[in-house]
Amino acid sequence: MAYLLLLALVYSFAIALLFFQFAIPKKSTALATFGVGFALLAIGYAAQIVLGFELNEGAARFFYLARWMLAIAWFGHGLLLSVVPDHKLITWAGRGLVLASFFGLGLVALTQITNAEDWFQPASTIYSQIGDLLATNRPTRWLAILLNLYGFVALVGMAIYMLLQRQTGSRAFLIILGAILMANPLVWSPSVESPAFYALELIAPILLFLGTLKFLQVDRPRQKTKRRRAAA
Amino acid sequence: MKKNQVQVVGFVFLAILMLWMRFSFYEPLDRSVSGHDTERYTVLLGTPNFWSELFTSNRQTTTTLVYRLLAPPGGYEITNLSSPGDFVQPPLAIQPGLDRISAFQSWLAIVAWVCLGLVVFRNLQNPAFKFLGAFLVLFFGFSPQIAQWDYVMLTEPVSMSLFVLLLALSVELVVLAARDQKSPSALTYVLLVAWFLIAIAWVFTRDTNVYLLLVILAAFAILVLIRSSRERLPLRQLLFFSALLLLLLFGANYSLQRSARWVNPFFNNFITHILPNPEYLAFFEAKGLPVTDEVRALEGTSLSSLAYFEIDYLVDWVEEHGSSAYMQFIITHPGWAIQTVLANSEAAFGESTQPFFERNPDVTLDSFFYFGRLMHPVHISILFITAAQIVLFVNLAIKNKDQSKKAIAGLFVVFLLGEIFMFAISILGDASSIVRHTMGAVMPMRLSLWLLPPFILDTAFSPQKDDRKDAKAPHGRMPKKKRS
Repeated sequence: MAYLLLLALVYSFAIALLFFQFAIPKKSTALATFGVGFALLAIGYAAQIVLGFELNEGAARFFYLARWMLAIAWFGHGLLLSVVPDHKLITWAGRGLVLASFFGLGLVALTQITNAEDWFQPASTIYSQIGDLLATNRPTRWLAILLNLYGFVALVGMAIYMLLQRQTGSRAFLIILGAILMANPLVWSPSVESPAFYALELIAPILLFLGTLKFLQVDRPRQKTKRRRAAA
Repeated sequence: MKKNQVQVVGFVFLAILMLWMRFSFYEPLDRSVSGHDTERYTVLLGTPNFWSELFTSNRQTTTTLVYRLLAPPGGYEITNLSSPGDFVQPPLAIQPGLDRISAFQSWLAIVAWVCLGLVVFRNLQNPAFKFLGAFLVLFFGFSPQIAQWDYVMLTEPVSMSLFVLLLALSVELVVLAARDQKSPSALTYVLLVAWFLIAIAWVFTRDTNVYLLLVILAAFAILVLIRSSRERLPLRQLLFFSALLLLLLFGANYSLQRSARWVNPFFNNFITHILPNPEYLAFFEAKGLPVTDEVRALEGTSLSSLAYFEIDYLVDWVEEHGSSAYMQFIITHPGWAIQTVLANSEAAFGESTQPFFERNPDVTLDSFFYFGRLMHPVHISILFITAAQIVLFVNLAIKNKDQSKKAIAGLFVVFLLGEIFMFAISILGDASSIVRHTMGAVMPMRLSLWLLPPFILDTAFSPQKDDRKDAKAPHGRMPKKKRS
């Protein structure tokens, strides 16, 4: 059922394009941040697909950087920006996230690949093998943990905040569930590829997309009706 | 340069890129491999009664006609025979005369997939999704799991390509119908004629194809019964077209009954399903089937041995009553029919690659094959995911009040139901070579899996239509203003 990864890639890539398309005319940082989140997720899926075929150093590095280190952080920051826009602290956090992302890029680029040809199994999930595949040093690992924690807390925290504010109901649950599903393979790395693993890989970004749709006010631009034109 | 022109140039560039892929990662178009059935298409060519026997002989009409039209002066020579059942899978080679068929099949497929890519590109509004949709269609069509069939001298490649053309024309037609409503344009008539001609050719490539027409006719009937849709349809034209489809349906059925094409599949079913079960055998015995020790001895024999053809009285009975008896058996044993379809479904989805020749990994790279395999999943779950995506698409199209998207969504529903029907008939029709026989239904299901995401997102985020007049604006264009 590896095709579900490709389907997840198609949806993530398309949603990322959509967010960027909406972000540019609105000059919305929140939308662009979510676009980056989905783009990182798409890169992660693409790397997983490549690694499902053979051991590829570039794909392994891209997977670690995009999916393992950055994706959740950018999603979380996107939600922070959309719930609490123009807050000074969050603006600084955003700058910090950009800096941390570039720092992470440098760290991952410098990380050595272990002699994995002997044991790497394309048929197993990359989540269970990436730890041994990349000889990550302590700063790299800690940066990944820090960024994921930041993103996860932001996603879940903001969803709960919105729930308490009664601004949204089911969508907050979708975000919480999406965040848990996205973080799940990073914590409990599945070693065996099962139908459930592939299904969750597809469902996680869709849940996040559905959950954040309303917050980000990505509404369809309506064509003017006669009545609206007359009112105008 | 205008935005539309840039997009067209972009599509041309994408098509060229994919064509380069098609020609670079596959063997030359003159190579081929034959199956056991290939000889049947060439036998009739030299006979004086070719035209009179074209529809009633034991050969697929369209394929035989293609072989006739492309026949070289020296005729065809089968020099590279494959037999997957015996594990004989020779590499591709040039077979005298058949190089023309191979080239024809390849070019037909290329034209068909580019047409479908263009149609998808035209009917999506968001520029990003236009390219995504066209890319997915072209990559799907030029992946090894599809393109390798073009080198196999059987009915499947032409059948698949004609289906793709039919789908492309269907999308254009439903969009035009949604726009023009009661007054179809000249273009609609031209496309309808093209659709009907292709449908004739497609129906006569594989006998199970005709069952899609039944579902289309049922959809027409439902549209006519619903008042709101009836008011917007050109009823006279629709009834005339339905009559043509009915005629085609009966023509195909008549051709099948007059030919002996169904006799071999009947025996495959008889040996696999009927003989081992005393209750089922009693049913056929009651219909007059001569159940002798000689007939009982067929149980467990290899389907490819064709030993049953040596029992004359059995063959005589089957040719006279076999088809109607088997139909009655299916109707009176619906539980068995459903169980048989379900039991074979997983196997039918279980393979996506042609088994007739071994891929040359120096030409068609392993990595390319791997990505093709991802696009052609071998898991039955694609059926449910496609169905879920269609439900979402229909829901969004209705919410968005976009007539053209509603029409396309409806088309997807009709085609999926038709494919499921074809799938079931293929399994019940022949107990042998289930993967190959169901491919005509499974391939479109796999295609739908990738066609739907761009349409879903495009519908969800395209401008919402607020009144029915906007339905007159297809492809993102607004209707022309009337001169005051």
